[in-house]
Amino acid sequence: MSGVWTDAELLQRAGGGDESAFQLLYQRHRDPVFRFAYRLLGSAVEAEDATHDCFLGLLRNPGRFDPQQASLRTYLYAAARNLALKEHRLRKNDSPVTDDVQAEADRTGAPEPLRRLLDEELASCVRKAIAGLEHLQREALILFEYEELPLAEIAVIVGADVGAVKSRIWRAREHLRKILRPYFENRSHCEIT
Amino acid sequence: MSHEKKDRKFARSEEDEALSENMQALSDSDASSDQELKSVLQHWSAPSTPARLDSRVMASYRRHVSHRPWWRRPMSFWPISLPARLAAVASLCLLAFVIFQRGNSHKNPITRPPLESSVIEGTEVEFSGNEARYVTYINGSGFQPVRPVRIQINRGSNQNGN
Repeated sequence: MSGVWTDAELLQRAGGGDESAFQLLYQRHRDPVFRFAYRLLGSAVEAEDATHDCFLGLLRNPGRFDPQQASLRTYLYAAARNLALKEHRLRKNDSPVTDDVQAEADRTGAPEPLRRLLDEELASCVRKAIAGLEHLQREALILFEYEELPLAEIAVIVGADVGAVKSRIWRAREHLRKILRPYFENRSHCEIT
Repeated sequence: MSHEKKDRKFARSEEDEALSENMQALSDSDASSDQELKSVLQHWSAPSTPARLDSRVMASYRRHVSHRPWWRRPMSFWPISLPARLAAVASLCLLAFVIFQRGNSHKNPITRPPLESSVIEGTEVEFSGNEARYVTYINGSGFQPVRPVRIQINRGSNQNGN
């Protein structure tokens, strides 16, 4: 099956029992949905569950997705966002992210031990700084900075107008600049030396 | 106290102004404008999607599709709204009903009784005294025609004798 099929066509074929159509659809959107869920929830295990539930929700209620209103990716982002919001509400004290640090350390393939250590520290700091953002700011920032979505699409996903999204991103950036300022200096220092 | 409040209000309005200016500057192309922050943020990379997620999702798909009757499969993924689906089903039912009715009418045509013709004698009466013309017919309902009479002529011997 070639890539010329639209998401709506693939979804229809998948509904008719075409497993390869569903597989193609899943592979097309799996990574961005997982990435977004991971950054929002801060845990690979929870992100895996959320991604699974997003696709399962699509199977159970395919009528909720209207191709006339938004793309499937937007729909899946919105579904992941809603699941993360539900999870966020369940966490009473908004517990810090419980990501597996060792797994993150394994991902960074820096050859030099010192550089690797610095990268890990910086990654951990960025993760904590983003986790410390308010939920609405966090999701807007992740969609804008990491997923590089246009503001209009972010507005659809989070169910707000573009002005509100801009405000959230701006505030999130300001917050992160304050927290990560020492790392700007350290980073430049490291690069010079 | 009031001065403090005024100062706070003034400070807040300045902050809001700065925010609105920055918000105006923030656009879709702004992702590259704050390169310093962006490059720091990129240090936090997401892990690749675990392979077990693929098997989980595909297993859920198989379980979901296999549990549904075959006739519901294309229906449930039909990307049209529920009211439209119901309307389509209702119109199909109506069409089927009409076709069924027509089929029945062709099979059993209504047999009307043959028209009985009868001659009713009437008399037209005109009143010429007024402008309007009144016409009266004699009502022939309940009229019983004479039963067919069989005329039999017997030629008796008396006649011959006379």
